[in-house]
Amino acid sequence: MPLVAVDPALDHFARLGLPRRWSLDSGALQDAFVSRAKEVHPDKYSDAPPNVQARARTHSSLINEAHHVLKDPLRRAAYLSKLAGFDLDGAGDAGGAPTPSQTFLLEMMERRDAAESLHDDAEREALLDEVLRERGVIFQGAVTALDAGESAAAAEALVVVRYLDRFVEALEEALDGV
Amino acid sequence: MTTKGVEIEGAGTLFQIAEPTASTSTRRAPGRAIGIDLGTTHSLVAIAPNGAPPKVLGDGESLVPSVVSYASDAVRVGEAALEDRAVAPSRVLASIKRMMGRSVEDIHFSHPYTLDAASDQVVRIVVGEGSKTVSPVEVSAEILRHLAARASGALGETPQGAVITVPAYFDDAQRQATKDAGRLAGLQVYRLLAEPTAAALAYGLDKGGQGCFAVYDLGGGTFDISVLRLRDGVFQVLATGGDSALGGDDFDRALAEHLLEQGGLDSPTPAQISAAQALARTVKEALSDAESVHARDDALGVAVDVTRERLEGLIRPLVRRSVRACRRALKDAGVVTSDLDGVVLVGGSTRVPLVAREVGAFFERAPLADIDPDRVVALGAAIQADILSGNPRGDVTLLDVVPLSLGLETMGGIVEKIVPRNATIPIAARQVFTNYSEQQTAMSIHVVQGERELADDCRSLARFELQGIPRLPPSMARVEVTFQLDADALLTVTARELMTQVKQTVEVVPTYGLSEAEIEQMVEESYDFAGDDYAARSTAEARVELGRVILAVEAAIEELTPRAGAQAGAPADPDVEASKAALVGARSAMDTGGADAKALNAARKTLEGASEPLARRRMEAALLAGMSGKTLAQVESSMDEERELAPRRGAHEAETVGEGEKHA
Repeated sequence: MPLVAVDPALDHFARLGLPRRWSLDSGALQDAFVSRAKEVHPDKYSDAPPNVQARARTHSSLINEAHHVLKDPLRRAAYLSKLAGFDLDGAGDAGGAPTPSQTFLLEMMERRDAAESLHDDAEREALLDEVLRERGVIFQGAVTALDAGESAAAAEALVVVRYLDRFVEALEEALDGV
Repeated sequence: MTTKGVEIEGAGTLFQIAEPTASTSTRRAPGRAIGIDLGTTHSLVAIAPNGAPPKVLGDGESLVPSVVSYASDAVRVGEAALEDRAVAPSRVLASIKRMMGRSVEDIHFSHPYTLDAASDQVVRIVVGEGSKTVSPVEVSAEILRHLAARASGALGETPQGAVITVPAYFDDAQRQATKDAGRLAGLQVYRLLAEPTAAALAYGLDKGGQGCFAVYDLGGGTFDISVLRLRDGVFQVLATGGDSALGGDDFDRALAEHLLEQGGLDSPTPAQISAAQALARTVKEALSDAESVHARDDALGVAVDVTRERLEGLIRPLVRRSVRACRRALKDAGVVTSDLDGVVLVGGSTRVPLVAREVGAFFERAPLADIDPDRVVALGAAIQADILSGNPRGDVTLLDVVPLSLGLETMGGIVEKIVPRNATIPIAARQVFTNYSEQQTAMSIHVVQGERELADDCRSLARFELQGIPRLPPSMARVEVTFQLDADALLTVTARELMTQVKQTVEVVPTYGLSEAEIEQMVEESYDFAGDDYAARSTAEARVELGRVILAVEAAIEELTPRAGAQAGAPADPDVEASKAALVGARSAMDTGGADAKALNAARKTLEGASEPLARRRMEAALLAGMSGKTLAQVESSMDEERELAPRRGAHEAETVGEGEKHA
């Protein structure tokens, strides 16, 4: 089986032959991944010349990476945001994550302080549920915005989601008694 | 520890530290490959030539004890080696798998051997009273040679290649050592295959399986759990986990302690301990069928009845430990027990009724064990060997994962994870590191494996150094490091300075593997100590940041202070004086032991504020100096290249597992 040259410029969606948007059928993603992974797996080229083996390895690596990013809803959203020019892991300035408003940051601090003063697990559970609900709504807003092409709004919402996720982690740790 | 110096010479040169492993140029011979299960207590060889059903070789005695005797000039393996034990116990080596890929300082577990004190990196075991020493790789190679010879008889010709199985939880060093043993035995190692994946292959093809399965593999010395999805000939490992220091041998040790206690032996000799373990093993095996067994060894002075209940009480904590690893693996795979279509038991230790019971209870279903748990791994290895020798066998593909995260140590001892555990292999990930100061012309890269946030808590795999980094202001020199894991989960690292495009390839030659205690706890601790790690991490980060600012301010003062005598009597530069004053405070915060992140950050902010005018003046100077060394065209072209590369890099940059994913 001939192995086409690797195109490093493809984004993860194009590499798996999927439309570049957040809404994604998980069955379609799995099918696209498995069929491509099968085709280019180094095992299929075990007897090929070294340069073809290296190419199979590169192909497989890129497909595996694309699948790793796209299969997770938050990673997929962050990746789309990055493709649109808002790298949530980037530092400030151009192409970086939008900085949340001062009001939001203050509110987060207050909520975390309030959470730390809770004494009983039932209260923590209730707060955790509330935060998870809120997170769900904001995340839904973010992905709707992404698919509507409103990248700046989506990136802002995703930054909020990350803050809420860290809050959730802290609450879970408190519940686990860490 | 491997330290390799590299001199970067001239932009554009491809610079290699070591040749990557020579690729297989020999044509593969279909039907001449074997599958080997290289176990802690026993090993097997199987073949499945040209699409034939797999079979284990050596009718009566297919299980070869993983024991090697150096009692005479001719090395003896297996049953023959066991016979030598009576006459020359110190020349007969067993359970060597536990030492593969480890250094002397890693071997904390009890073993009856004398290790050569002179070898600080690779373990060498002293054989007998003489000066002869052997490494675990050499001992394993003897076992492999013995198995290959057995296969030669059955195949009618010398086997050309082999698939050797390893515990899924083996790290890079342990895998590399296993591959080296194969090479030493004269075999072309087609693939290192994870034991549970091999078992799944044997089961899946046997039963035409489709769906989601868990493979619980408890051997003599190691434990693995893998969750796989089988569909249309594709075996996709979703997650793997385990404990490379948990196995049936631990059951024997627990029971042996009990027997010695019952026999009134408070301080047993090594010989008594070993006799008690042998007795314990017999008792344990008998208790798989009987409810009660009379354990008797006259030489030991032990004669007690042991009930199955008693044994179960002794080993329950060990079994529970394995079940906790199952819970983590399911979570990592993103499945719940009701999503599973079956649970498969692999490894001789799953014959212990308590194991099957606890596994059944956790997974809420009766586990499958219809293929002999001692042979199933070798059968799967034989199938994969046949495929890799050139027989497609109905288009089977194995998609396996890397068991432990890989990362680089950055300033302050923090690990930058770039390949998360359970990523499908092969996979590559890239990360860009920047210089810390203008004085920095070398960058050392430290590769670690594990789940903790600080490098000291992870396993060190290798170190190497990039030298000749161009002198650029802080953060301007950028080194992109790529980790490539191949289908054996073996690692190659390449690094490239982006400004000059100088590239180099490094084969990670690990000097030792993860210690049993470390690896056992690594994943667990990453959960248990998440809070500690966070505090330590933020302190380390704050310390690095403050250090960076102090260096920058010191350099700026140095540059802007007039040469002594040049302008004697000139008024002091107020910007310099303000910065000098702020430096005093910053240095004292740096020197205060136990300073927390908050204090360090406050000191940094004060210093940054006071030195701000100075920093601005210096940056202007640096930019001018940088420009003067190059033509405008050169500066512009390197900027263009950067612009061109950036979006492509963005498009396939590794996304390491970020915060919040567990709620996504």
